[in-house]
Amino acid sequence: MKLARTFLYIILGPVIVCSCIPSGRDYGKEMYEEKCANCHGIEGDGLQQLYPPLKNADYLEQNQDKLACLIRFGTQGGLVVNGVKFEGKMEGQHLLSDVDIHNIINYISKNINPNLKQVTITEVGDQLIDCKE
Amino acid sequence: MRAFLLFLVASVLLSSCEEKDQSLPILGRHDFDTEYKNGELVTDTIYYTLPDFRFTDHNGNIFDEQLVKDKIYVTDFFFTSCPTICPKMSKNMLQMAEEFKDNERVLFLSHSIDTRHDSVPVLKKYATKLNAPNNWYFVTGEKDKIFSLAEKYMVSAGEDPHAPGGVIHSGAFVLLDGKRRIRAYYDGTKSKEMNKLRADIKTLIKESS
Ligand code: HEC
Repeated sequence: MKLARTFLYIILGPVIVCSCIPSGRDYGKEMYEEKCANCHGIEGDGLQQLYPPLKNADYLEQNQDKLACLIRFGTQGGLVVNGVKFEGKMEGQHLLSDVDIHNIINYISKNINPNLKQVTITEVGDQLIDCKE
Repeated sequence: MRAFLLFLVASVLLSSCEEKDQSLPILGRHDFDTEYKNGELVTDTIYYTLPDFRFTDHNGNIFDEQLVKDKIYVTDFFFTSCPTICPKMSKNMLQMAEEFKDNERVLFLSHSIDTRHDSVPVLKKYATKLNAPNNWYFVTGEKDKIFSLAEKYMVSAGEDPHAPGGVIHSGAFVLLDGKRRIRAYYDGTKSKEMNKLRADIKTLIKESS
């Protein structure tokens, strides 16, 4: 019985302690890897002429103010990234909240395309209200 | 202490076999044929092999089992508009197809499971945009035949209206030898698994030369 109790402490102790320490969880990264990386790649390299890159992508750099809308509503009909033509279709991520989109954009601008600027949640919210769709 | 030693020795032994053993098992349920030959009982193993098939590839040519005769091949099930795991699988398959494109004994075969949408021209366009080398075939055909063949490869594929894209399927790559026998499975969505696949293809090349 006593043994069982000690055992419990050993197991529970670290769990409790760990849960108090900020986990360092990066939601932007998790979201990006779950929702974007399948197609655009973990590093944002894209895949041949099927999926455009996000890293060093002139299209993205020139259209950063449309990124929030692009994530929510998708895009299709073709676009040119770094001189390469893409004629695919990206579905919108309608289930992502403004906060999710905000996290994804900042993850991309911090880790994948440093030519982008960081955005605030208010900016993202404003962009999303003005989406043309 | 003794138990610990035993454990240590056992694990050393085990890991050392793993390194030496370079051959790949033959997977699937095999049959055994036992008969008397010259008064002696002999058992022959009838290995599980993939049945014949007949599809159309992205160039509009018939693709049937004759084309994989004596070939080591890697196969998967995908669809061009798949929003989830397929792009990763294509990326990994592309890497492998590129690496073995000069070896005519190795080929790559992707079956579409969205046969209604993935017509020959759609597959052709996909292959072109992907810059897929010539040793990689994309095939389409009758939906039921493709699904039932997936079953024979022992990977899951089927329709599911709730899944993204309407079909559910496994991200597995299956490795077969020149006799259409299944030799190994890989998670086609993990780039790390390709190291194993590369090594295993080389093992099969050696085995059959
Ligand atoms: C199912 C695959 C898929 C997923 C998942 C996906 N995209 Fe896309 N994305 C595409 C395709 C295909 C295009 C090109 C569309 C076209 O040709 O009109 C594109 C275009 C883009 C573009 C504009 C072109 C460029 O590269 O600058 C951006 C930016 C972008 N996607 C960001 C994202 C972000 C962020 C996510 C995650 C929230 C995401 N995408 C998820 C397939 C995908």
